[in-house]
Amino acid sequence: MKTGRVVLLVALLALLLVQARLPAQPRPIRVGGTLPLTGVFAAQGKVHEAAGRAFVQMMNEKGGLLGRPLEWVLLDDESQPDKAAALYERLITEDKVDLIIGPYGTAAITAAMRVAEKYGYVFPHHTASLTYAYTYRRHFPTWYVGLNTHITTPSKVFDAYLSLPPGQRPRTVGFVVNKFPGTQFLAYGRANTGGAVRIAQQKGLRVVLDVQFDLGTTDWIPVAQQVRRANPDLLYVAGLALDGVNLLQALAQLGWRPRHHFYQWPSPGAMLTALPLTDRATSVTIFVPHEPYLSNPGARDFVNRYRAWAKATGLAYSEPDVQSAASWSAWQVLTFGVQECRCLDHARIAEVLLSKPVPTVQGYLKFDPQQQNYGDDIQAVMQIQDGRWWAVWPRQLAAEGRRLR
Amino acid sequence: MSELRIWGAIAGVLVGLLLVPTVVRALGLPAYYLVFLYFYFFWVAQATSWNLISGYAGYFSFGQGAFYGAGVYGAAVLIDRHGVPYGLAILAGAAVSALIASAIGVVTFRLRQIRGPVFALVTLAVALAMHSLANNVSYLDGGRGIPLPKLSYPFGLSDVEFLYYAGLGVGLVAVAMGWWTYRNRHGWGLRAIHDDERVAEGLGVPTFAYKMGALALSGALAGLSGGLHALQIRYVTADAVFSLRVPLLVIMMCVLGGRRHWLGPLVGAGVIHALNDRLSGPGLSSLSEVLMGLLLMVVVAALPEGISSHLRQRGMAAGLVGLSGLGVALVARLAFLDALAIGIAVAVVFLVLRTHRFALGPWHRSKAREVEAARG
Repeated sequence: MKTGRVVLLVALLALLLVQARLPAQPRPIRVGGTLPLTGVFAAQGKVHEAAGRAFVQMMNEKGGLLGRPLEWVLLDDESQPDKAAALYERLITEDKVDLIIGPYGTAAITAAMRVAEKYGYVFPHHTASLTYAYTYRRHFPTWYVGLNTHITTPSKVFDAYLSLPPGQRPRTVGFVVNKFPGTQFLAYGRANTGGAVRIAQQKGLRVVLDVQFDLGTTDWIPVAQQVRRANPDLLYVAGLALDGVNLLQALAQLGWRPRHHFYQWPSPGAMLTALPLTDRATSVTIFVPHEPYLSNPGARDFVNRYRAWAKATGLAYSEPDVQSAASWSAWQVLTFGVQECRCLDHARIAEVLLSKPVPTVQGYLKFDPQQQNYGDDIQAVMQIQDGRWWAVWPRQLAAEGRRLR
Repeated sequence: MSELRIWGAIAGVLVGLLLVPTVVRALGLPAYYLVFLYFYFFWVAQATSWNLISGYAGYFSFGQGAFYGAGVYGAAVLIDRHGVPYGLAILAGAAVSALIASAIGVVTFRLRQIRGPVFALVTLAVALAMHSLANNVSYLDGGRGIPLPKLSYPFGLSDVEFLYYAGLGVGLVAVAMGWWTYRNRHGWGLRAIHDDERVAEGLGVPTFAYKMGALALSGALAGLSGGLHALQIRYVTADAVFSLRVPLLVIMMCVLGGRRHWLGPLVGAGVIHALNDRLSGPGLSSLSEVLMGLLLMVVVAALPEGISSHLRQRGMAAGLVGLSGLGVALVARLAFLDALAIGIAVAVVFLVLRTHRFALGPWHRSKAREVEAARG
């Protein structure tokens, strides 16, 4: 008994000695953020979580940030904006994180941005569509759609379709719009400007249908019937996630197939699993895993690491897409600011980001305070062809040999 | 304890609560403590609001989502579209909620067949209709959401401090409302209705008036708290506001805390909010739902009248056990709110273990006493 105690004591002392002799690990740089890990947006949250985790792992393998390991303090906002705002308050004042990164979705980002502004934190974020509302000088959007996305986005889409040879060009358009803040803004604009419906008319397209549906709609037949009756040349679905696939399946049941079809923010993987219904579907993007995008800063790292991480964690769709690219870009923006100023001072990080072009997988981003830090709309129109997504418009961003069909 | 001591203790707690922001600011403590407490007051108000009609009177309601949502949208629309000062807008939101609740009451309480599950379904339908209304009427929202403008608060208070004080005010109003209703003739009448409405009617309880009063109060309180919460949400969208999250959490809080007493919502809100808040990390958040489900099952089986009823008998012991848990967690260098959650969890486990009663059979409870009391 006595011997046992002595052995235990010696072992304990030895352990303490070994620990004391180990070189002290540098304190990690802690980045706080929330994502919808549960709740209605959990599927999208998982994509952003995968991108963030893969990025942090890459940084740490390459020696961390400023010679210190990078740590992501991630919390679940349950897809609720009020909870997101509260958790950012917690991350900044209780957990005392060094930096923060935005949550997913317009509502949560808008709520969290007010907290970031109160404490003067640099706030990179990736999926907010309420561009006009963001006056905070230190917010850095990385879904780079320009300040007037309600004008530029639909203009780009219609320009792409109107570039088709005369015989294939659509003359009528039908709108199916989700009653979701972002899609409403894109479809109907703001303060009597922009919006896909108005832009379509300005471009000479005849609007033959404008129908809205609720988020979480499960019975698509009534909407599909209206679409079939209107029989538009171009079906414009201002929806998100699975809206497009659901509508196409309902349309197929009614025996109708769109000649041309566009989807605002679909789940790219789900669109591919629904082939051939989704063949030639289009959407907008800031990144597609082919040239010229693969030549952008960090793009190959992103593609390889995201694929590996997504496969290892069992994500349903492991190809990098617009969501994961926006997320990865936000991490690139944040770490670029820190590396360039060699500091964790938010004022200085912000000044760096406002004064230099920031290298990201979408290209070099110039944050312009005159444009509420949104610069030009650099989106491309992408299309499903031969079972894959390809950028097809404008021509300088199109994959080699690919054009809109 | 003499009445003087009770009032002295209440005054002490109130002064303490009023001083919290000053202490937080003076000691440089995390401002999140105020946010944490604000959310606690919010849940207390919402849970008390549900308890007034569902706990006391037994009319199980899913209307909480509608009342809360009407308060949020009432305040947000008035602030954003009409530039109404937020204080007035919040009160107007509460009035709108009370009106909606009264309208539901006028229709449903007149029909004898709308009781039990049918009443629950009617209130759920109202909440769904409100969601649809907000999404479709462009004056309200039209699916675009309402971003609230930046607001300034009196006496140089930060938004967090303002929300703390306003939340405290609403929370106190809720507790006072729950306590007052519980203690007076109205409360006895409501509990008699809960036990057997026909008998209560036969004994002369004005059931329609009592139920209407409880539902209107419930709506007003939920709307008041919802209106204030619009300032916390900052960007109001129909899908977030009219989700089932608020009514489900509120029901869970009341069942856990105890439905037939004013103390129930305070206790239930504390337990659920503390656990939910601390289990927000990846993996933990899914775990929190499992944990809360398990906790609910154990408490319903072991303490069918809710934690508060046993807390009233063993409050001192449970408090000491909880404080010991908190102390040990603090010594183990856990953050204060983590330690607090552990303290609360330990106190709940203590109460469950100490009770030794698993009500797996029918719940035998004498109803005659309360019916008799209502009559008197």
